Amino acid sequence: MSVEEKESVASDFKENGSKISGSIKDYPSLAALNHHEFAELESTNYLYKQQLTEPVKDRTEELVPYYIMLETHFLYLVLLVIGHIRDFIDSIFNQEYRANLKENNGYAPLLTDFDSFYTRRFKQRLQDLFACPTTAVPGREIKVYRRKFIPNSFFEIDEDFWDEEPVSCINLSSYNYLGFAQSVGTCADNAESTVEKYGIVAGGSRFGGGCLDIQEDTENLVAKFVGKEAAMIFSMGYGTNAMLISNLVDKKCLVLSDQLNHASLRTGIRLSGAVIKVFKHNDMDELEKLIREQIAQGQPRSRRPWDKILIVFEGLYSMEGTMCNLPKLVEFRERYGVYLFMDEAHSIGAMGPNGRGICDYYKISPSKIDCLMGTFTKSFGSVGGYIAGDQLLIDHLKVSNLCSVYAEAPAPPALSQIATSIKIISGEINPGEGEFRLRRLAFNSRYLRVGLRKMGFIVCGHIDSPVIPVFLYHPTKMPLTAHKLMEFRIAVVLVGYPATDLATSRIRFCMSAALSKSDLDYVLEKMEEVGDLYRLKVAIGLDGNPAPRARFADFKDTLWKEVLNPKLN
Amino acid sequence: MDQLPTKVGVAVEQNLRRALEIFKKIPGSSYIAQYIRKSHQNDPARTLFEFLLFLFALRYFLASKQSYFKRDYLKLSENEVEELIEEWEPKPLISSLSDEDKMLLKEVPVVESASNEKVVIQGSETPELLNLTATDFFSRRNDKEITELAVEKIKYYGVGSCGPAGFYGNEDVHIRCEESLANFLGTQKCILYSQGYSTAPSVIPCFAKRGDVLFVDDAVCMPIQRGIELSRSKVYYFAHNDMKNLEDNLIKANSLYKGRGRIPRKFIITEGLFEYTGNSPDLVKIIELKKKYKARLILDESWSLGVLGRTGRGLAEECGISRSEIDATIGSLATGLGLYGGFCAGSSALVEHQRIISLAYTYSATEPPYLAGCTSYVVDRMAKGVYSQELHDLREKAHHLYTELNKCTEIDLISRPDSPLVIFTLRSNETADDSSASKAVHNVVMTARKNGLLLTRLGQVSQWENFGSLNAVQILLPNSLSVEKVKETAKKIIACVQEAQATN
Ligand SMILES: Cc1ncc(COP(=O)(O)O)c(C=O)c1O
Repeated sequence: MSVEEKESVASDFKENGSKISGSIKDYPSLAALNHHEFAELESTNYLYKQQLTEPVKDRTEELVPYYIMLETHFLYLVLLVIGHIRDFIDSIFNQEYRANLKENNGYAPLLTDFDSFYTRRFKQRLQDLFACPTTAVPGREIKVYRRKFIPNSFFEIDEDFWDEEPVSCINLSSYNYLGFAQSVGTCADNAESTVEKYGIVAGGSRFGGGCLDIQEDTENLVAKFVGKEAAMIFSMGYGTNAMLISNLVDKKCLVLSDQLNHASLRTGIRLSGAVIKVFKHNDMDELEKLIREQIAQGQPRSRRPWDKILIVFEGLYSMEGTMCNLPKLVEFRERYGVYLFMDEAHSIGAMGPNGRGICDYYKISPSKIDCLMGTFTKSFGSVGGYIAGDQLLIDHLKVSNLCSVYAEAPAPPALSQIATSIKIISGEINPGEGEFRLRRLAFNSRYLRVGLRKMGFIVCGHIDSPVIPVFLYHPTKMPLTAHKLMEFRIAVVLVGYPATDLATSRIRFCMSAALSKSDLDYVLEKMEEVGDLYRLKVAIGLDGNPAPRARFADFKDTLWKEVLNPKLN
Repeated sequence: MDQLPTKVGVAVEQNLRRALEIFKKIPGSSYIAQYIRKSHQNDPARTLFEFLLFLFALRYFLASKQSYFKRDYLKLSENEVEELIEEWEPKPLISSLSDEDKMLLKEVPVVESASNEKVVIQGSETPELLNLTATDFFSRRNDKEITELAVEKIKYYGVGSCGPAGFYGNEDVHIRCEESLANFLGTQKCILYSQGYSTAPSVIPCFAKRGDVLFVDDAVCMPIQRGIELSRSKVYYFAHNDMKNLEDNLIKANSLYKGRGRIPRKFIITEGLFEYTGNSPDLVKIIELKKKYKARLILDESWSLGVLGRTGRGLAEECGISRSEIDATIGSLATGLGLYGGFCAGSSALVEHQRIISLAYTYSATEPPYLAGCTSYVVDRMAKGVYSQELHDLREKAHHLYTELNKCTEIDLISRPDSPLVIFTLRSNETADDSSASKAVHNVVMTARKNGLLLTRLGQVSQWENFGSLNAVQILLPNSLSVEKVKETAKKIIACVQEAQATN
């Protein structure tokens, strides 16, 4: 790129009124980092401030050629048949294998044949890919131990992987969106001094003596950050959801739940005892129809009106990268009096020009959502979950939420990590650094997504989403792609059933601010190779014809400029 | 739509297998089979006719089931719908706090600075209180060696692991920690959860499904109650630690399922040291019953691990029972051990199955690596017997506390004599209703705070408790107190109870 071009963007960057510098050397918490954890920014051009783009419809299904689905189903059929044949053979010749599956001395089998069929015959073949242990900080790079596949074993997996050195891979697998997974710098320093002051754990439940002042302080900080009156922190994000919904609704209430909601939400809804209706993922028309119908019909049998109707949805869906249609949902809330519960596990910190989540992205006041939830395992590099809402809600939770009464309180060092990272994002400490991270993440996410899309991969989700799923479909492509990428030293997550539908297996890139543009160029280059090799670039364009398959070399130099265009979606 | 072929394939597969299996089990099914064969021989057209009739019946049956709710719907015009929507008044998401809630809210202590042996509580007049609320009996959280190890681990791993175990979130420390625990307990494998509380609700539904049978002590803690609810199994509650009652239930259930084809999975679920009562079951007897009636045992060792047994291996060690007799040991590492997270230990198949099926494991990030590192450090040392003396001392001190407290006529001590988790109820509450009982406990807790003792009520949310809340006071005895101090504390507690009742 020419010098003028570089300067024009750089000055533009200053005009925005920010004092942020383009080099990690100027930030006290990043300067000490080695490039394994956080890469240097190569040019101030590679920064982007998120702006509202029209929510795009999730078009994955339209992007898939029909023959791919046919092939996929055929392959599963083959796997199914082979699996059953092997089960049959094992039932005769391999009593050891059958030990846990058959009645034994009057005891029912621990696992039923059928329930465990998928795990034994499909998933077991991918075991070496799912169970890779790692070591050190999951930053820009991640050190992965390789495991070996043990053929024809029940659940065994190779145990002596320690002997070999772990391989260092570019990390597109961890939820380290803003790069706060660090072993040095402000966050780690604060966590270390917290260990010295408070110890390693809180020493009790929040209700029963485990609530330390650092927890209340961090809760206030979180409340301010997400724009709610009060907040509460729990030691686990999954547990937060699983135990919270019971506090909001009971069996006289209705919960409308998005089809792709996370398992924790589904567990929580089930435990609440409320009546559940599921609506198609992000389908607002269907949802509205459902709301109208349900208000009119009331509770089944008794015909009384519903006490409350709660809509449970996620801000950013972790397996699809799609975003909820918040404006529409807020409209429903105002029009019909339904309540909104938004899970911001993946969006808090990662979305919005200020990193404050989906509300920030859509510029909608958080007061329009009744209950906000999020986790700290993602953008904040810590652990735990939060609920933010009115003071009344939080006071109620303090004495009657199951997690706050029975579960261990969050550990002080984790709280310190949360507090420090929030302060950095909001610019309270290390001014400029938060914005620097946010803009890097925003640029990186768009860059990889658009690059993959141009090459013809089936990529779904929102343009600004840091979760970038690439669909594989065929079960056979799962191990092939994952092995090949591992060979290229790229760590990505392989997602299959039960986290997604059986037929829509995918690999998922989780973007991070810690990566540099050259890292992404490398990934794109290698993905092109993998895509050619395994026929992954099969997307269909909006017009119904195969999408153009650009060669990476042809657009490598201009891609960065293209993604800076906020109109792109 | 696209997944239809596989779904149909799977469904047909499944149903055919099931149907055949069930068919064979129906008494007299062989006659039906014979009848069909014969009638087919006599008149093939009739078979076809009957088959069609059968299909029609099936269709009718399925269709009516599908639209069961819809059929119940009122037919409303657009205007009527609009009107109903106008009229609908939802209740507030959270109605105002009840008086009970307000009282409890006042009771929740917020600790200024660290939680040590002595603590300062926000908004309390007493400058320093003796901390009787730490689940970490041995103050490991502030132990110099352990905090140094934690700092070292943070310097290498950072704070969070940034991912679930299946998505590169399983660091070497987590695996080492699982190995340490398995080795300590003497099981084939162990799996680590990132929150103690979420372990049981996630493990139980992995194995106990609809149609299975559970035998559960009626004083089990909340996580187990939630797990049972999620499992959808048939539950038989037996009276707390009542082995006779357990046996009756086992006999009853066995007779019910006898000769009914597939035998259900049967699990006995109980705790090593009950969170709600501080008591232990007769494990030897349970093992005997479980063998006799072919049930499996899930033992929650949350509070007993690291407290009971010579080296801290829990109730099994205390009773001299080999761990291999216990099918699944689950528990929280945050309670008896005073650390963080939860675990499930057992055979290889039992543990490895959870890695894919167990929701709280598959769908949640792993615990912070530094905590996993500290856990395996503590567990390894415990396995070597380093803490045996400490454990012995603690139980001794608990015994002293028990003896002293037992002199008080106003309270009912329900925990076992050597348990550092002490639970007592108030005699005056025996006939009281729930809210005045709760008020009385509140008075004791607050009087104790005024007199320099930080203790809490037994944390329970009565609304969610299967058998209502106990309204009990909980004391967690820290090992750092000397025997003299323990006796003195006991006297102080008694004085507080008496004072609270006098002012009442
Ligand atoms: C939407 C959603 N909610 C909750 C969680 C659980 O969070 P945690 O990993 O902190 O338990 C996740 C994480 O995977 C998630 O994606």
